[in-house]
Amino acid sequence: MTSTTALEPKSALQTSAHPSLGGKYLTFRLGTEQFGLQILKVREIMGLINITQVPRAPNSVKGVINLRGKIVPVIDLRKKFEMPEVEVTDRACIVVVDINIQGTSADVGILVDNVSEVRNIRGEDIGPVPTLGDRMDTSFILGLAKTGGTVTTLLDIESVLFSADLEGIQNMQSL
Amino acid sequence: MKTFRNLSIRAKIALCFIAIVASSTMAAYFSITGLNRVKQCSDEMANVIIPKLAASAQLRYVTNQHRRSVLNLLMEADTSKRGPIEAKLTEYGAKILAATEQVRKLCNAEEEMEIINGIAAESKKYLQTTEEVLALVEKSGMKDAWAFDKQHSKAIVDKLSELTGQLTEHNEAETVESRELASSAYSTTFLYTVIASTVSVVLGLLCSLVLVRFVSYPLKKLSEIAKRVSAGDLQVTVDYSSKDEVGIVTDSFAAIVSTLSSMTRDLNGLVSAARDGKLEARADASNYEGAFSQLIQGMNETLESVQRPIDESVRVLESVAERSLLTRVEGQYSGCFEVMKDSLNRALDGLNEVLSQVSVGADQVNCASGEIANGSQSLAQGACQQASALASITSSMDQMKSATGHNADNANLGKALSEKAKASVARGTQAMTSMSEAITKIKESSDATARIVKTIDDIAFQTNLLALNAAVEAARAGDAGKGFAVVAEEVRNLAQRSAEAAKTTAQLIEESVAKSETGVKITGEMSQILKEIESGSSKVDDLISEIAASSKQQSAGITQVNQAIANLDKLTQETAANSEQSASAGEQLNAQAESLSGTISTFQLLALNGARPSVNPPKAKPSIPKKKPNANAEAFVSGRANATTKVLVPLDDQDFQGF
Repeated sequence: MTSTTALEPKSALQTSAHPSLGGKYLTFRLGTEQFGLQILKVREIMGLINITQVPRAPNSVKGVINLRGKIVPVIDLRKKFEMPEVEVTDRACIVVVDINIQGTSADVGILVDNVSEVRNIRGEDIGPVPTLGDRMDTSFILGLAKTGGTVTTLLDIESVLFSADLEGIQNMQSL
Repeated sequence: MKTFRNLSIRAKIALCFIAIVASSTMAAYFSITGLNRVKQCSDEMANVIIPKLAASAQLRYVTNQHRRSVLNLLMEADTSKRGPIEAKLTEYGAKILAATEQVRKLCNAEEEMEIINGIAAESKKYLQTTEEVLALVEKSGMKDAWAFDKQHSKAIVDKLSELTGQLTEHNEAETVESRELASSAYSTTFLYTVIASTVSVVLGLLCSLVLVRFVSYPLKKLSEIAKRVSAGDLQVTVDYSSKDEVGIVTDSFAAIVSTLSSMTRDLNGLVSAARDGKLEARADASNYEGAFSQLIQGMNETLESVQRPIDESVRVLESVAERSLLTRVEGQYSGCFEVMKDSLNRALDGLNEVLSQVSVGADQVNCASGEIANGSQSLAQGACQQASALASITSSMDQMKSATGHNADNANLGKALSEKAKASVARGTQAMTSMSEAITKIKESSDATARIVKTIDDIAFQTNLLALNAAVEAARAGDAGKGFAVVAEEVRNLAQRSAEAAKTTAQLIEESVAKSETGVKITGEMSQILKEIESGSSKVDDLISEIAASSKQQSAGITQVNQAIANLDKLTQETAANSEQSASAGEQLNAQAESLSGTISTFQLLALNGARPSVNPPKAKPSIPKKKPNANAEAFVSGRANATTKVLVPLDDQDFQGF
């Protein structure tokens, strides 16, 4: 509780964020950085399979895969985060997440460099997002988890994907 | 003729040309005058006589026409036709008057003038009468007029006709006169012209003859004489005298010929005297002038310059003949004479130097022969010592021979050992090859292991993914999935451990591959070294063989050296004998040198660089060890009989006699 009071002068989002955020997260890597996803958003983890490219798709959409008879779009997170593109290794994985768009649930694959582990992160280990300039939108970050000397960025995957291309995804799924 | 000959050539040619020109001018004058007279006659004929004749004829014609017209009128009864006849009458009347005036103008003689005046008067009278007749025709009628006319006009017309006839006669006479005048002028001119032309032709011929006689002939003669003189014939006489230019040239030529012949005589005299060796003879230059005088003077000087050096050379050679080399040719000459002077002086200097050197040489020979005799003695002693030294060398050589034999044995032993080493190296090389193959096999099996490890790693990755999916499913199951989550965690741990183990194994395999590569490299180096050892032992083998062969050759060499030493010993004995003969020869040489010194001293010599006296004083005889010269000579003779001793110089008393 002491930490909560200490964080009080910060924004309402930050103070209200961390107590309820404790739980299990799937951690993965993009380059050297470690990110975390809420485990309940994850539907499946799979090794790299053949991705079919879709013509005229947005830049960050890598293509689609056939997931046991179901067409699932794959988003390249590196592109999304404007990170430099690298060659895809045999350690790369597709994490299929279950997201909620305007009341309907949809499966979306995200391409990551390397999947690490499923980790239990306590609420008090999660820190708020510091202000990184007025114009920067930090709403897609749930918080920053301090684990074993490193920082894991916990992603609100729906906010990450909630942008123009998601409409495309929705359209694609309605087919 | 004499006066003409003495005239100059210019005057002669001028005279001839004046005569020719004068006669030609005369001929031209006659021709021109004659032509002028003929022209006058023809002019008169054309301008006066012929027009006068024409005018007289016209007068007669118009008078007749007038008369006819009058008669026509008188016979014409029709008055209407009288008009044109009257007009014609008027016209003819005017013409009669004009013709009369024309004749009067051309008249040139008094007699003629009277006739013309008569004609004029009658013409006037006739015309008057005609007018009266015409008036009567008008007045009294035809009959009266006809009568009147018959009465008056007929007489007048007859008179007029007579006068006209007279005029014509007179004109004809004048024509004949004029023609005769022209004819006579022509013949006179022709005659004069022919005469003058003939005269100028004759004069021209005469002048040519004269010029040939007085100019060309003497020049031709002179040129013939000049040809003979140029061919060297000076026995010519020039006989032509005249005061013109040819005469002057002839006189000068005669003077040249006489001077040349006189000079030739003088020069011939000088040349024959010089040929006989009389160089004192001279010619008198005052008999000549100018270049001739210089020529004779030059000849005299030439003889002078030849005579002086010859005289001096004769003087110097005479003193040489008296065995004195002190005098030299001192005068200043040039050209060949200087060369002669230098050669003579150089010859004398050379002779002087040679004789001086011979004198010095004789002294030195004197000394040297003594030294030769001494040297020969010590040579004999040296030969004895040499003989003893040779004996000790022989014993040393024997020892060396035994050592060489031992050497050869050792070399053979070494060869066997080196062959053994070679075989060992070959075995080593084979072992290295097997090892290299084994290492290659190890590397191959390492690669296979690495593939297996990769598979294990893949399985571990898949297992990890399965564990994670299991964890996700467990989380979704909530509290019911808690146990399952623990199992998934354990599976994931196992997968990670097996991945770690695979990674470690891969590292180990990598190291082992790197090490086996190093092993292969080292094996390669090792076999290279073994190859070097092999080639080294082959070389050692060769060298040992060479040592063995050399030892054999050395042994043979030592045998030869021993033989050579035996020969050397024999030669040493002979040297001892020969050196004694040398001593005797030295003594004989000494005697000859003394005799030479005596001969040289009779010459008076110039000092060389002032270091040597002019006369050689007799030298003291150098001391020579007396050693039975006769006995030595005999030994020498016997030495010559023995053909093996070739080292001696063959000399004896006979050889020195010519010296």
